[in-house]
Amino acid sequence: MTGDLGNYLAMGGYAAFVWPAYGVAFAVLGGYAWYSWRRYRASSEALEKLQREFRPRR
Amino acid sequence: MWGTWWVWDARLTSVLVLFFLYLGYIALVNAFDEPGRGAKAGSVLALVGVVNLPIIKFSVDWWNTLHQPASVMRLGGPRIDPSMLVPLLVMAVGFLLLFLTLLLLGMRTSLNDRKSLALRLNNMPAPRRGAERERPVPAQSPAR
Repeated sequence: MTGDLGNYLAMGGYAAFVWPAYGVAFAVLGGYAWYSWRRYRASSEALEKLQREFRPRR
Repeated sequence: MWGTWWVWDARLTSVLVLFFLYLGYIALVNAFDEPGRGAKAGSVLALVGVVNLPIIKFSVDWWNTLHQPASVMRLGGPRIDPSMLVPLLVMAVGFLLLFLTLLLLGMRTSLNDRKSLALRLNNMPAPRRGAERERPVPAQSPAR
């Protein structure tokens, strides 16, 4: 690769370490954030369902 | 570049101890049938483990091993070139915000689960034996 962009992407010859590190970090953190959000939504829906089911009688 | 994967450097070793403390905490919290007892035992271990944090912080000054001495939080200002210091601080703030977000999300999930459990326990059918008991009134759900 040539030019400024190529030079930047080459990371001084360490591209094989730098970019996979970004990839792994994004995959792990993004996956965990997505999982946490799904767990939160599921627990909210379960709670709302129970609250509708056991609504106190007046 | 340090030119090595692993040495028994003071900083590396003290962080390894922190890692084992963390694994031990996870194992201990999940080791009890009753979640409350696990949480209690885990919080004691967490309090003991906090002792390791200042050791990690000052390990680079107390023991003269491979890791460089303190270069960011030191008297007289950071000794890192701005081209590395600025991204370091930006990323540190980013990770801190991500951590806080996930922590709050996890706490809200936990609260939801606890409320669901309480609702279910409060509305269990009355025991068959003896007089027919009145159905217990579920706790008023808090305003959302």
